[in-house]
Amino acid sequence: MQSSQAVGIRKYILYFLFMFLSGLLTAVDYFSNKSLSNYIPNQVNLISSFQLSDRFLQNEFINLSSSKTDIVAENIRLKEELVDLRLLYIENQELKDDIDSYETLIKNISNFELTYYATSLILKNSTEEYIVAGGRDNNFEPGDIVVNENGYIIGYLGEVFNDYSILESLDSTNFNFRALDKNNNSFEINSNGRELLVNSLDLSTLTKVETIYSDIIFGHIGRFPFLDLETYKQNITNDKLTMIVEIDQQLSFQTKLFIPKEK
Amino acid sequence: MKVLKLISITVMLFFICLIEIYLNTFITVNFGIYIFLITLVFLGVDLFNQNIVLPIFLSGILYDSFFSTYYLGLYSAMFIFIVIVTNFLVSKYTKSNITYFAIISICLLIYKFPIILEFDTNYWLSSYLISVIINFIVFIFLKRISRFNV
Repeated sequence: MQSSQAVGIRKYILYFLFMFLSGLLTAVDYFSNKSLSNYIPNQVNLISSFQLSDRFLQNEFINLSSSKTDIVAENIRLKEELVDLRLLYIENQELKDDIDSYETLIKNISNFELTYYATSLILKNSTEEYIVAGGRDNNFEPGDIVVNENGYIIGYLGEVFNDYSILESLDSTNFNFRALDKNNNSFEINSNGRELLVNSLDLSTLTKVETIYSDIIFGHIGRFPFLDLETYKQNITNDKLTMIVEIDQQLSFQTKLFIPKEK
Repeated sequence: MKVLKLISITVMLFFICLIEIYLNTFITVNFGIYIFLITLVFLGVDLFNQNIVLPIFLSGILYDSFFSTYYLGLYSAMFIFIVIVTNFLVSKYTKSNITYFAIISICLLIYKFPIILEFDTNYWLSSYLISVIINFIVFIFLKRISRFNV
């Protein structure tokens, strides 16, 4: 009985050793300011290497046609043309969407001194953080704000790799943002996943807070609207204002995102 | 040959992990289908041996590097821990649907540990409960298929 228990425990020894190794790596990564975990993404272009060629579908047809008669080949050629046309149609639609979103953005922003890089969501990881296209190849940096086509801030870049970045969106576990209102009252905003917790840092005037903005004093690139707070209940106790704002905007893969950068 | 086998298992595990991420990216309902978790449970239940620990560790390292903002090694440790817990439970109790359900429930808790730690229960509880049921059904379904194939 004892020996079978010993065997039972012994079979996990290697597993525990690897868990210990993982723990060591975590500790080294923690003390080296994440240089270990950033090493592989800095060497490899992950997202670019997953992009399928536009000719991918057509090649399937070409392979099929090799063993068919001329009539079938002709049929396939027509199908290829159809695929081409469909690809063109999709490309055309995407370009139209891009133009529409840029037009909407132009109507909603006031700062034309900046370049607005269009980006889009690619993946969502298991901790509800979004991976967006573009990274160091576009000179993105951690902390860069991300706006939607209405010009409102929807998050900021948490980490930036070669060709992709991790977006800290409003429902992200690590979301933390600072903003100003028109009276220069400063606020700190944190997320609990479903709601944003808005706390004043410094209230110079006790008036109703309306829209809050990003600002260069917090290291942001410019002044962009973040939240409209006038409709929410505002509790002021001991010169501290607190608010709970429900997160109603959901990011989707159709959401057009822009990252403003210096020209 | 052994090295090639280890590399191919690692690539396969990371590929399943990628599929899971893609799948859950496009699922907008309030649950997730965690095929990588189910794979880990399979490894713990039916294919547990000393040779799979390195591929699991490496796939965790790759996940940590590419898709996580946490420190390197966290997900590897979690993946290994899931396999240990699965194998421990399945060795201690009989291989029944109740045991499998308990295993999926516990392993999903471990799997979603970073979210559970940072968010309150309102955020994750309903999604967790639905996910347990869905993933249990997927697991049983895949187990039946594997049994028929054998």
